[in-house]
Amino acid sequence: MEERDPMLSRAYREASQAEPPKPLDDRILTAARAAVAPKRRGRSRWFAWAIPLSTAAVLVLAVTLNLYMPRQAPQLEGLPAETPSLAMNDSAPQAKAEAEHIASSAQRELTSGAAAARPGPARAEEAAAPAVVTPGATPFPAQQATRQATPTAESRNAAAAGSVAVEASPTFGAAAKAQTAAPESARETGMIEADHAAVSGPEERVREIRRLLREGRAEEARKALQGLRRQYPEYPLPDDLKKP
Amino acid sequence: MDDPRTDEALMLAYRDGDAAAFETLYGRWRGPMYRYLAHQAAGQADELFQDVWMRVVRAREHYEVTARFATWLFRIAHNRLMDHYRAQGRNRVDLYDDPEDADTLAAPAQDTPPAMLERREAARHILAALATLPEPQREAFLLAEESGMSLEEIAAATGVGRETAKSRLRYALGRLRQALADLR
Repeated sequence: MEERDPMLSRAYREASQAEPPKPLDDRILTAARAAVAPKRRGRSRWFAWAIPLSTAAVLVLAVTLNLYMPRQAPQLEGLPAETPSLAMNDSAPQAKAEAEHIASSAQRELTSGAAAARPGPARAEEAAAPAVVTPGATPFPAQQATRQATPTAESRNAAAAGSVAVEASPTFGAAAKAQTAAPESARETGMIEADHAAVSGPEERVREIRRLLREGRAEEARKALQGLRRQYPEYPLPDDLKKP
Repeated sequence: MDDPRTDEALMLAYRDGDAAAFETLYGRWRGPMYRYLAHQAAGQADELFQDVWMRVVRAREHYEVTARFATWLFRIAHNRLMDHYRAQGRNRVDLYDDPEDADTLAAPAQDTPPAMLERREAARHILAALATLPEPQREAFLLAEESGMSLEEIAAATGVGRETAKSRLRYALGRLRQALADLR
């Protein structure tokens, strides 16, 4: 019996020239490529997200600091009032004596004439001013306060930024979902459903092979395994049956 | 597509991480596989086609050369097709399980010269006749035509004995010849 009929073959080939659509080709090839490059893809995905994530973190940090700063402002305004006491502690006797001296001379000038008294307090202020400013205490505590506050605030904000960015970013959510998307995509194409239908066959065979192995019928088990591989080449073998 | 490697070598290369090997392999078999599915499950070929190739991708890890690649590939397609029939609750799977199968069916023996027919008309006619074939017989014909399988390979891909495959193919050829003869 001939297995081919050349005339029939030619007629069939002329009639049947269907090809898969291009988008279908693209989907399959993309999936096939992704399947053999999972690590590289995961790494590049991290790098792809590193810049947007760090940008989001910086933005959130900036906004948080911006909101935080106005609450700090009154403290900064109050600092000069506190600073002298700090300054006094540092250069205490000399500055105190100088201030008292200026104050007393001003008092003297005040008694000598009201018009002449005006520069007095000004001078007293000028003289006192270095006592306020010179120790450099004014900027320092503020800076120190900021510095002391910054690391904790920074870390808190960074953590918040991270979590906010993660939660707020829909694309990140999509990316996270994509990592577990393999079964999802399979479900989309109806593969899971189909697999359930197919699995009854091979699973029964696997149970049978295990039973044979338990009973020590190794040769029969080996043949059954070969049959399983032949009939269901796509079926993923359980680990315990992978050994030769 | 000028890769001189065999299908089996390409599949092994893909198993070992060579994505380009898969592309070559896919290029060789996309058409035959698509037509096989299109004739067997009209209207659902796209979904089945994608599923089959995804199964190939997933099965790559335990791929070994135990047969011709085409036999392995179309075995996967055959299994997917059976799943499809089961999911649809149709009785088509029973057709494949029928022990009597095509052996009991009389194959039209008349040989006609299709060369006398107009080609276009013959093409239309043959597709119509193909659609009327029972699935197992149609599958045997498609496997022979699209993948160039031998009777033994058709038997292996469809999970039947050589004689069953032979009788299915004979039946299909007979019916198709008859259809062409009717055109005269």
